[in-house]
Amino acid sequence: MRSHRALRALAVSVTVLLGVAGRFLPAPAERAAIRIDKVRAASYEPRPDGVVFVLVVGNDYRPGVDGKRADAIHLVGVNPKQGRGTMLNIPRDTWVAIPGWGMNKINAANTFGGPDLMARTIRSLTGIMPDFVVMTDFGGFTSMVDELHGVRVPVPFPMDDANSGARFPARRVKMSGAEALAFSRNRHIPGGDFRRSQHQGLVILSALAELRHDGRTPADTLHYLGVLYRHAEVQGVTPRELYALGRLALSLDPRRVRNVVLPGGIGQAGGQSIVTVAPTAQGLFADLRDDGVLQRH
Amino acid sequence: MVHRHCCAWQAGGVRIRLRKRHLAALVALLLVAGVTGALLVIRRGGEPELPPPVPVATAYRAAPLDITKVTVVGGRPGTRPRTLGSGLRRELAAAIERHLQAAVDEPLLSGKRARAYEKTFTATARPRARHDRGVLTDEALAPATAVARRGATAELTVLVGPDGKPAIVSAEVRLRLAVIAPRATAADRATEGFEVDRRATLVLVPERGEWRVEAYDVVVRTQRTRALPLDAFLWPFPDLTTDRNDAAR
Repeated sequence: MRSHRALRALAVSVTVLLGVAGRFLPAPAERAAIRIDKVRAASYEPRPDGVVFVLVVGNDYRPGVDGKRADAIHLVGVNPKQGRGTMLNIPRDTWVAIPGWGMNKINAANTFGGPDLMARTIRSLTGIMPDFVVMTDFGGFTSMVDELHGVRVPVPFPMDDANSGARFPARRVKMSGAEALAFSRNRHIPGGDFRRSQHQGLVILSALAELRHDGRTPADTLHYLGVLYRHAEVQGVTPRELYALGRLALSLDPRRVRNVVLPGGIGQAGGQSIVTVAPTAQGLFADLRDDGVLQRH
Repeated sequence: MVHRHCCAWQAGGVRIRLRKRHLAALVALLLVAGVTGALLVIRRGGEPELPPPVPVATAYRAAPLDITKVTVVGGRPGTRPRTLGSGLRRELAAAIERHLQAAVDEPLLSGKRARAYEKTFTATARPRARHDRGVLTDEALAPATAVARRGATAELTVLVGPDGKPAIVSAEVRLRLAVIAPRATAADRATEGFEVDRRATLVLVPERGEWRVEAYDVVVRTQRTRALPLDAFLWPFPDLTTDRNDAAR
């Protein structure tokens, strides 16, 4: 009996001892053989600080067609700090003053003086001098879209146009290069040239959404720039600048880019149908000019 | 007859008798007090002092950067992208290796602040790289007593400009290191190790005659390991300089 008590006292003491020791001794090795101590991360890429304006021009050059008239004209303003932007779509028949050439349709500026004159004409119209000009033709546009494996575009209403070849149901449609071109060129729709110009902007924003979905790493960006380089003429942009612009574009949520058409009306000049710029456009230009974002329009 | 006492002492005319159970309790109590006291002493700095950190690594195993994949994009309008020439491939590998050596290996091995690493960045990126020093370099683990590269790989995407010249390179770099921690002593070398897994996207552009880092995205995972095998290192390491130069090449 007494020896039992002694053993019990010893057992209690040993238990206390183990408890105290366990408080201070390190955990058994097998419980924490390897553990993650720290994860550190840092990221940096140079981007433009200020507002950037890019003029995107699609010209109608193709085999059998003389000249290089601008068929699609878009002034894109991006505000990096706000993460917002504006796509101002300018109908190709807009009647403007072309520096050194007098009044004419804006698409003639490209024939007269190429990207440089196009940029100066935009400045004469809007008061905004584009920082960069990106220009492509029909072939470049279609092959660029094809190389990016097509683009999904939300078609706003059914189309069945023999002239452009645009035949689409009213839903999101995955378009090949040729189909995207047909959608962009179809002018036999309600709103005519104005609506067509907006559709062109829609294709560009849809392509941006597609690219963001497919990949936004630096390697992806280089891949996209590679496609651009081989199918478009890029004026006055170094590869480093273009990379920074590409990263900026991919950081931009297309839903935060306003897709607006230059306000105007239909008119006649010299026996040809033209688009006249509405007086309200001056306010829009001023709104766009200050920070690349439309606050009041 | 059963003896009631197991022990008896005579001291100063006083006879002390202990029963068995009393003795067991006393022994256990002394044991508890002794061990607890010893543990508390250790916790309060009674640990034998470690020798001062070793100023330079005494072992280093290099693994030259291995370029595992190259993709060339861009080029002149209407042309297909060409392949990367062996000269440019070597040039790019050397630039990445130069960056890794300056930011990671050098501070670990020398125990000094990384001095040359800022020069591996472009002028545009340098101020930010200085700010991100804690992540871009492994100064925090320096000075290591031993460093071994488990592997160093890079996948390259090369953008060729319209003039046909390589203009921008994106490098997906992975560097895995085994490091003996700076506080390690000769006795506990096997239990004071770190595994560093460094994954970085580096965007390189040519500037002032060299490819330099224009942009980066770096994630570093540091794992402490209790059982770092000693065979992770070449030990003893005969000629540090020779192997480091080999790695740089």
